[in-house]
Amino acid sequence: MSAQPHPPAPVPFREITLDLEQLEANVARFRELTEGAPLFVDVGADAWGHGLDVVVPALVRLGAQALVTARLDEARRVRALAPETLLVTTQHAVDEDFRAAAELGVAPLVRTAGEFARAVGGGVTGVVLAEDTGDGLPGLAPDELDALTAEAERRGIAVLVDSAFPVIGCELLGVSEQDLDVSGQFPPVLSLWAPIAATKRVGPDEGVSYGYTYRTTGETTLALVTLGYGDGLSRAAGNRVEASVPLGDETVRRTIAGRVAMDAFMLDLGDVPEPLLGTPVTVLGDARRGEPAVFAHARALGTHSAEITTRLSPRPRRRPTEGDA
Amino acid sequence: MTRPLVEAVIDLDALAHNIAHLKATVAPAELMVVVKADAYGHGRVQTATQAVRCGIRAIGALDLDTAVELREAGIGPEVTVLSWLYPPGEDFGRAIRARVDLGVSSLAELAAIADAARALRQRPAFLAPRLHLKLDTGLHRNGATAEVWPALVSAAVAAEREGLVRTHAVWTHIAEASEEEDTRALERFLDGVSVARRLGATVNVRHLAASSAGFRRDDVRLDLVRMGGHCWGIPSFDTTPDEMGVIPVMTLRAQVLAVRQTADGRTLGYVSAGYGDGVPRNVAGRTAVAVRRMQHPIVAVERDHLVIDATGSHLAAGDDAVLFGSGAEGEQTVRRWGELSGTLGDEITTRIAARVPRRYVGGAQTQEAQTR
Repeated sequence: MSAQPHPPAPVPFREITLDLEQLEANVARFRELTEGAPLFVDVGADAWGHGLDVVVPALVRLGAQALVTARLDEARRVRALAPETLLVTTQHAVDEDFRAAAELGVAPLVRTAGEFARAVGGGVTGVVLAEDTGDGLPGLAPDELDALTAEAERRGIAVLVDSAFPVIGCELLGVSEQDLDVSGQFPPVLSLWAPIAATKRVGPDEGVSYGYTYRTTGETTLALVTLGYGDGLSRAAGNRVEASVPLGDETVRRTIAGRVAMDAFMLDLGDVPEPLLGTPVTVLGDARRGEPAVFAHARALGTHSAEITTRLSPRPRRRPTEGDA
Repeated sequence: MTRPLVEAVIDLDALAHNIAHLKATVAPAELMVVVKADAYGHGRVQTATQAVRCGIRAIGALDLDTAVELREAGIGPEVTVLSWLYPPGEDFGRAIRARVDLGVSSLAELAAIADAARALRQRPAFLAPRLHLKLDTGLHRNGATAEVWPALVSAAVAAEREGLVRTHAVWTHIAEASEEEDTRALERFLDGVSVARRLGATVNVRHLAASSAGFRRDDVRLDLVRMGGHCWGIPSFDTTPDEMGVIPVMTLRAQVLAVRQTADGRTLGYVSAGYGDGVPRNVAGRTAVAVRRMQHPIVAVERDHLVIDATGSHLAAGDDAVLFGSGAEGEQTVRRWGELSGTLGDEITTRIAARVPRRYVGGAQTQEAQTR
């Protein structure tokens, strides 16, 4: 246990920084790749875990023409942040009356003629028709599409078929629902980090964290980092995923030592002087800065990168930054 | 108002039942209910309030944000609220004002607490904060090592003589790696308590055990046992809630959105809960969802929905789907979900997303019993 003084300025407990300059660059890249296609963005599941409060106003500033969420309760939050933007919801209860959708100015994606009728009855002014693809959630057959399109036009309701409404999702934020590293085209917007809150020197063959699934191999410095599965890290990340920490002049990478607990994990830094309390440890960051990337993190856990960010909890505060700030 | 597409129903009566059972099990030791990480996803304010109604007088909060929030929600000073993990540079003034008990792991933390107390001591309402000095008995997270322990205790005693703090408790976390390791941790802990007393610290409360060891071993209970998981009806060792006499508190409910017949003759059901709601993707192929009291295997987990195999079963859009709960509707327990997907039920409830609304049921009778 270190007796060194705490740094004077308050240090956040755990933090997610969102690089809005990177988001802007990703939007520009999207426009370049699509030759100026309209920007329709799926911001469901709290903007894939990034946080609606930061991401939605940024996308509005960057000229997003439509924002998509799954459910109406999330659309309500988005509407408060994006008063003028077209909103689309994709998932509704079978008895949804769509009055909330009408009140929020939401255009629902409908998958059955019954859902279409309820949406019209609820007073919506626009709908998106989901075409059945033979796979996944059922949609409308071609003849239904034609009939409902005609019906909507007769009633003066704006109507689109979903194939004419291409939506970009989490790629814009640098993650993917495929086992795919998108960071070449779309570098990550999010970093997850926490300070070292305690350090201690221990000898060889000491067990570390619950279950002693990790043992030290020599004289070493252990660091306690205040991130755990209560923040959305996976409990299985222990002994599997890396974190980076500045030590002296370089940034070193270490695999998390032992089990990730609810509120903290440990790093075995090796036989180095104890770093200052408050030294930042990055779990998800930018590979260009020597930090661990979300893609490698996801792969080590056998999932895709979108699940990694989406499951981050509200406990780490979200802070927008510009560039490396 | 249509019902939510997905919701976590929190049964406050089940919580009351569990607390009564756990209190009786650990008696004469006291039970501390631990509500960190939003009470493992169950809602910290509602569950802590219910625990206090059930006679609990010690709440574990983890951090000062949670501890102060509980005080502001009306949990009074007759209830101990303990905080023990701090970012460097923490402001302890708000903790002292809110009468939060403070876990102390290092000389640096002690110095910061003493500084905050010095700044407040001239105020009329000042009460020196109670300290829970923390010893590292092998887990090697926070807590003072045996080498630093005498210095930490002595510094606390010196601050007490200045009227800045009150020494009150000694505690530790154990690794639960094996019974033998835990026994060794207990021995190291009791040595540490002796050292603390010899150096002049008051030790009113000794606490070491959490859910697992605290339920199974009477020798580790000492004066107080800290429990999270068991209060929520999630056994932390190899047993079922039934066997240990607790009821799962959280039921995760969703709806069947649609049903599709596939070309190869299967029936798939689409259920309105996905990994964006905190359902781990890796439960696909491992756990099941109950619809009409029948368990249907999960075959895929998408962001906003999951897919179940409903071949041979008669499902309809709009049917209730129960992912996990007490088993009352044929569903699996979250303990079972954890077991089948290689983790703890604690992780699964904790990671149920904030976008999933919590609905509280029960609790009324408990309240009534309290007012009578």
